[in-house]
Amino acid sequence: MEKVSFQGEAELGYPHELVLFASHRTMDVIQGKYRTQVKLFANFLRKVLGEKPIKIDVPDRADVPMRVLEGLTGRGLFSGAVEDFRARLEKMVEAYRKSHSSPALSDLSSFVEDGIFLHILSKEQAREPLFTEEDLDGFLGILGRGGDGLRAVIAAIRLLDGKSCESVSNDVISGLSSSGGERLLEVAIYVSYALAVRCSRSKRELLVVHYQLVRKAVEELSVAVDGANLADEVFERLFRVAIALFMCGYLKSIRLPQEEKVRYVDEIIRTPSIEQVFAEVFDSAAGFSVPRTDSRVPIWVAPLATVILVLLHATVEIQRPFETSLFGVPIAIPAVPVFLLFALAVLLILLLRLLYLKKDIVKKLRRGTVD
Amino acid sequence: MSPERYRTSLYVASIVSEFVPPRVDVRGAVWNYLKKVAAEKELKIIEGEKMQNIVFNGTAMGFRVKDAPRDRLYLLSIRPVGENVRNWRKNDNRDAAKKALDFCDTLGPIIAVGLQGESLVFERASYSQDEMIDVSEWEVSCPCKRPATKENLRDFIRKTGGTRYENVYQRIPEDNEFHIFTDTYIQGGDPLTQLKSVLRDYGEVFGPRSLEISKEFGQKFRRDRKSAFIFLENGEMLEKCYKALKIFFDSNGIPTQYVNDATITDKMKYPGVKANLLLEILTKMGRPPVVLQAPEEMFINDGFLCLSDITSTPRKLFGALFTYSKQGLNVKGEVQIYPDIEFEATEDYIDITEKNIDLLAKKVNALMGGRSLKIDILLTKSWKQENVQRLVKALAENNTETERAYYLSSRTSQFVDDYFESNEKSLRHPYLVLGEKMGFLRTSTDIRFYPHLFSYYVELVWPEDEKLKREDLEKILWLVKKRIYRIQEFYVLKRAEPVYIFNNVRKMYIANIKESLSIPLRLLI
Repeated sequence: MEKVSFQGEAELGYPHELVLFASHRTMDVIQGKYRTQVKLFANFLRKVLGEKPIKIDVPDRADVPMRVLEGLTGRGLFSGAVEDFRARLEKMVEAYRKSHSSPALSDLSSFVEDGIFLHILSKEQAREPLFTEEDLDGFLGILGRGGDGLRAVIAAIRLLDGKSCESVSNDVISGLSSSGGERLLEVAIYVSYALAVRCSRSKRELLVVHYQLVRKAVEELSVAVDGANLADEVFERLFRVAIALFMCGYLKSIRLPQEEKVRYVDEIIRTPSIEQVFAEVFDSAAGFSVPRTDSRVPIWVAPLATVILVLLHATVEIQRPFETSLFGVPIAIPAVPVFLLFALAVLLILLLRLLYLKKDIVKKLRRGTVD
Repeated sequence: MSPERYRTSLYVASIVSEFVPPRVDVRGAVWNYLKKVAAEKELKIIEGEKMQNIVFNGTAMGFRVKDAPRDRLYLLSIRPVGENVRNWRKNDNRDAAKKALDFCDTLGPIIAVGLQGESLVFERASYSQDEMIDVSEWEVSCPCKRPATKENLRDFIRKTGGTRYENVYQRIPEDNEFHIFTDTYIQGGDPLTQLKSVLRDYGEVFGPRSLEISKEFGQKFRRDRKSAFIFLENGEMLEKCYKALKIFFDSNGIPTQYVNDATITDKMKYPGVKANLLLEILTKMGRPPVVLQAPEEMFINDGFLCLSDITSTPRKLFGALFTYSKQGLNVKGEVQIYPDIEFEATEDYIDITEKNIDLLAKKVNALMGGRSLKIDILLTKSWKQENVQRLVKALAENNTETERAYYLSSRTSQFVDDYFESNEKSLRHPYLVLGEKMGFLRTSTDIRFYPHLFSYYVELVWPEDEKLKREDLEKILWLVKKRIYRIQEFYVLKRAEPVYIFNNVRKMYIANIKESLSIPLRLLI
């Protein structure tokens, strides 16, 4: 397998690296022993990245979601798959309406959870929604007070379908935030971003949710970098998240204005884990490296050294004569205070470090690497 | 060069006459033939009211005949018999099988018996290298691990043997809670100390508490996926207390595990026994460390519905079990037991009225929560063809589509073979498809006890216009091998999980069931 190396160490520090990593794994998965559904998601990622989809053998009697996905990669009969998808949906809704049983509701919810991502892909790629507005409103009615994550995702999609959107209710925002579970993470990543772009008054809150979900996905999937014998579900999640991230504009560049990125860092560093990241970056940016060793001296050593040198200057100063020539003009100082001179030198380095500290920290945070 | 073949003690005859001869006539004709050969070869004949055996090299050989009218076939199977077959050890079974095969060699490749002026010609069947199901590439996943991993069965089994089960232990999560209950060891003792020491590596151990308060403790117990109740007792207490307690805990969804004190003191030192115990407990808890994935290409259906009587004097109950094969379905398997379905059952057959089939279909639909599902049906006893049709129709009226229906039996036409002689502990399973509907599958590739000598019988009972295919047998093999949580016995696993579970219910529950019961499948493994 081709070894993929990333900027710095092989860590998925940035969402676009995750997309890149996923794209490098598509062929391994398509040619390997993985389930058809995983291969189809790998193939779809290839398609959105502009690569040529590969022919994948899909069983004749494959599940309808699989056939929809196959159709989206341009390999199967898409319209037929959509018809079957809708027929299956109607059958499940009917089964629930007849029985009102929790297993029937669970089946329907699972089908909608899986279908909602395909619905988004289908709308983006084929301009053909899988669910109608009536379907989505119907699910909201069936779900009632349960299914927080799914309800929030559906409500968010309905807002995206609307003519205009000013603000998003707190219920939807918190629902999206909590919908990063097994099946809806990639959907929540996409809709939180799409809504943030659309609904100006809730942009800040939605972007915070978006970045938190992205972070969760990256953390969860970063294990895939070194993992061996990974299960099919890990790869399916990887490709689904990568597709969602790509649709949000990651990989080449995030389609967010600079101020929104800064706001992200601003918001996110309040969380404890970010505090730790910040502390590491600060130590790295503010410390001094010791030449010819790997060790670093923390920044507080510099003012301490200055104080000690000033005290030495006041008590046991050493005076040394100093002679040199500048442009042929001889300069002779009869007594130079050595400790004071060193104190001034350390103070000057400290001032320079402080002057560039902010810039260095921001740079290292953006790059995601620590020296 | 012809492919290697493996001898069996099964003979198959085509029925050429218009009418299918009665079984009793065929049996009589076969016995006359065998007696004739025995007289020629000077073999001892044992003939009683219910016994017709020939002694060959010191071992009695019995025989069975089975008619298969739909395929217009007759089967003759020869097997070693004896009063103490249950006590036969591995080598005893091996020797007996070899003698049965040698006896068949003596009989020759063809047995032609005269029957009302016509002859029925039985030809000896054999397993062939060409008809094998290789499971070595099936996937074993480890869903508890983060990230979830998978590997093929061959590698998993090899590593398990190579590491003396360390490979299995590593997959077991360590955040479990085990609550021990015992009366015998309430004050302590070696078995308790040893059990605690085993369990402590995989979570917190609480207790011991007395059996007397276990129900009350269970009633108020917080339900979660990380806890199990462990009952440590001797065999006598199993009969006296645990069976009555188990039905209570199972119907309340609390996983329980009975541990015999003798097993702890005598066998827990064996890593395979320890692995079996831990895997079984964790699987009952709903967090299986090892799962044999259903091969994707085989399963287009949602799952299997297994229907079985649960009969034991004087009780007569009916059970329905639903188990899922499709990945990603967010639902769990379940067993329901009905005391109000009326039927008649013999050892091999079930007869059930149309009215009761309709009632059963409605109950099954409720078991599946009214969902629209596509299923395969497994029957543990033979049904009349019209009853199967009625069942499929009644299920369809209740939103359940049947893809195929099978009758499974480990008792039908028991014959031996010499496949395991050169393929002991193989992951390749030979099969035989006879006619269009019947097949035999060697599910176990190692022998410990007498039943492991025989292949598993699979019959396609619906749809009537379809043939039994290799894919059908693969499905059944998955249902057998998905009991991988019995890792130490992996090679000798013989029966499909649902059939095994109904046997458990019969043994554990029958006396204590008062009304309809619904129990999560995982608790009954």
